[in-house]
Amino acid sequence: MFETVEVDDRIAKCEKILAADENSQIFAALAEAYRKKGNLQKAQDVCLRGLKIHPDYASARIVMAKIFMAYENSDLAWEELKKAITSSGRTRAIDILESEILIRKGKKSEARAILERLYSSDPEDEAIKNLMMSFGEEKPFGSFSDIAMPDFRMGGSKKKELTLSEAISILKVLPRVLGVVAVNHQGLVLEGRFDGSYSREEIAALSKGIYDVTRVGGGRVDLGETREILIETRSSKLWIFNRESFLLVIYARDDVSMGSLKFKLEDLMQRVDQFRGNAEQERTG
Amino acid sequence: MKQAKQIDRFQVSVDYLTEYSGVKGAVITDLEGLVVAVSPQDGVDAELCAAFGLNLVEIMDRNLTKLIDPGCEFLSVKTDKDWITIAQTSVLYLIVVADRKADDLLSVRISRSLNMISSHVKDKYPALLFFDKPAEQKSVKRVEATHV
Repeated sequence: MFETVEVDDRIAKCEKILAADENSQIFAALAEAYRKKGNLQKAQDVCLRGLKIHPDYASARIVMAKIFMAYENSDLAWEELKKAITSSGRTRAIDILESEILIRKGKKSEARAILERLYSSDPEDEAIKNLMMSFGEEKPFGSFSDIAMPDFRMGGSKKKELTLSEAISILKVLPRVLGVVAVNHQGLVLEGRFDGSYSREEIAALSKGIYDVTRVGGGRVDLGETREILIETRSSKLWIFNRESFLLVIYARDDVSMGSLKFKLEDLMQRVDQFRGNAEQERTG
Repeated sequence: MKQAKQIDRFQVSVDYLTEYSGVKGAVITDLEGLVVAVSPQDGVDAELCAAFGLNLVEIMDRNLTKLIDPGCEFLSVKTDKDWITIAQTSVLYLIVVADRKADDLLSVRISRSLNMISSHVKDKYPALLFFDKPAEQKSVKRVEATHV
């Protein structure tokens, strides 16, 4: 139910933008939302219409490939994927989709080669783990057999409650997210995962400083309690959420999809709150 | 002879924002905080917005440059009642004060307004751009794709 409301909200927003500007590239996001909702015909119509105006828009080609995959037409999906590669070159998302198509086409050894390469560059990637698991009993990943794979899949209607650490791990593997850290109001890092050159302590200190400045400054002009701060620079985004007992900081590339990230974040934080509530209840008996 | 109608494009840019549901006010200031345009005239305290917004951006910039990139281009603060956005365009700042519950698509409208301001500066005050050499404006399509 929760996810359906999210997708409906996304569809409404994208429709609004497309109504205001029929040349907008938002059609790809709209088609993707319809696909996620299960309305494949509508997704296909929207995407084809948009591709007539933007035939070289690689993201839309990828959405089209996913739609054909949902129709179980691997050949057409393959064609769309090749067009996406021609338009914008290879990306990680394209590699993942290619391996998925290859699995469907029965070319498992080719898929395995791609997945092994992707796995070695990011062993925490949820999509790759799921694809690896789809090989089932054949156990094609001999080299991975000794690695315990956490089950991140959200089966069933009732969603699993999560610890803060698990939620941060999931957020970190989302596309274009460079790091996630939770810092308490005293400035101590509770949990965090970061890529590359920044340490979680550095980003935590920076974010806590920014939050304090906004809170104090906002207090002077009667702004109320600061809930969320978003800072965009030329190449990155820093998003700070006040979660009552801690600040959750997401550091991402500039081209991160904030709409999907926010939906995911709200879902995960609900489950963290659920976990914390239950733990508190157990503690107090 | 018919006289050409004078249109203040800065005013059009802020009016375009305040006609959006949930927007309480929009202000354009120069880099020193002097108010260039405000909408609605009797809405938000433009001087206070300018002082608060620019001070915030300046502190952010100082903090950010220590670690990430120079230049905070877009700052959005949501409190339990308000949503304030401070965005830089060429040689001006745009400050938008909205209700906390305003639609997220406001970001797209802000981006369009920024583009309107940029092109007006480019047409009417090109000398300013020559001296300050602004960073390239993010396209509305890019904002749509990431903010929605």
